[in-house]
Amino acid sequence: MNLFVKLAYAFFKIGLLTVGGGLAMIPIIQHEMVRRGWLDNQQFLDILGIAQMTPGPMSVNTATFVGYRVIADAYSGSVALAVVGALVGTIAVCAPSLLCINLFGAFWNRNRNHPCMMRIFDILRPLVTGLVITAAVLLLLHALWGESFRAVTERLPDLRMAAIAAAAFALTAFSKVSPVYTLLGGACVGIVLGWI
Amino acid sequence: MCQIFVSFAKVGAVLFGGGYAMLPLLEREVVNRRKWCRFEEMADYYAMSQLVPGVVAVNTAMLIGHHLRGFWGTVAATLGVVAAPFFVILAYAVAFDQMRESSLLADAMAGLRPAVAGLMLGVAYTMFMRSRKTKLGAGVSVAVAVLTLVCGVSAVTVILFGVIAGAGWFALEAWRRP
Repeated sequence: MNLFVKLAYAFFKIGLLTVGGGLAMIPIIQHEMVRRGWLDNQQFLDILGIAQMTPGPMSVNTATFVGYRVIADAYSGSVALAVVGALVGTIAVCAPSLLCINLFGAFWNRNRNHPCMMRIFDILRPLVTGLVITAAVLLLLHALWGESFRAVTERLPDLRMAAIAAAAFALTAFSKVSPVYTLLGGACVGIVLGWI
Repeated sequence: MCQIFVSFAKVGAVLFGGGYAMLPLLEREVVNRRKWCRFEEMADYYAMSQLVPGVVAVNTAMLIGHHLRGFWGTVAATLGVVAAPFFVILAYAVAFDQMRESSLLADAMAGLRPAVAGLMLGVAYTMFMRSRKTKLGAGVSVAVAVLTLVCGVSAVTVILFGVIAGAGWFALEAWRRP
């Protein structure tokens, strides 16, 4: 299958299967990208950071960036084709909601408070939490131990990196600092550490 | 139509972090400036957009667009909300290729990675504290985390089973209470 078609299919599926928005989408995008060999976990972390620091819905940003990256890598850095790839990713991830809202807009409106819907969401909300926990743990392992994260028990991580992760965790969990500042802070600390 | 596009383009351009960050922006633009709907209606759209597949911020924009102009309203709203971010990301992506060799970028990325991971962990913590309020919630969260993390079950499978379980739960309740 043509790579553009694959890209459109992958992000259409991602858009269709994510209910509850951005954060729920991350583990699914991660799984799809790694499974297809389009990105490794390290690259995924980079993209996630960039998507978070850029305005706009994070998952759409990820789709744009991944679309660009995948096509640029496959067609030896052709910018024109990569831009098309970015467009394909962006449109594909939005398409399912566009279809759903136009087809079922009235239906959703009427049945929003139907007990069956409420039960489904009683299950889906904590379920998404579980998915986010998994994504967070995987990202942390990759950030601190790199690709060889199976060596977790064998060696300590880079303590400076662990400190950045701990600080970002504390800022997010226990204060209302905007994620943009947290991430910018992380990037700045990284530059300072590299410079010393 | 143009107004819908422009309004949502403005929201998209300053929307950082997605999700809840969108509400105050929408309130300013859609409720206070354009008077397209009341604040309560907007909050309803926001809640509803979580039930529709896809990106919450985009869905909210689409629902308001749908309310205003039907199909073309949804198209204008979607294009608006993704327009500015699309070009910013594109610029990033191009710059990223050019600067791949730069050590400054590599250092920034080295600091960014643990920050993203810590941030996600913080979000997971906050979400877990919320779902922990009910026994069922805590159980489902932990079970899903174990299934996906240790057993390698895919997220998509888990969500599909969740929908079936929710529908089954409802059916069971309806059957018990005729």
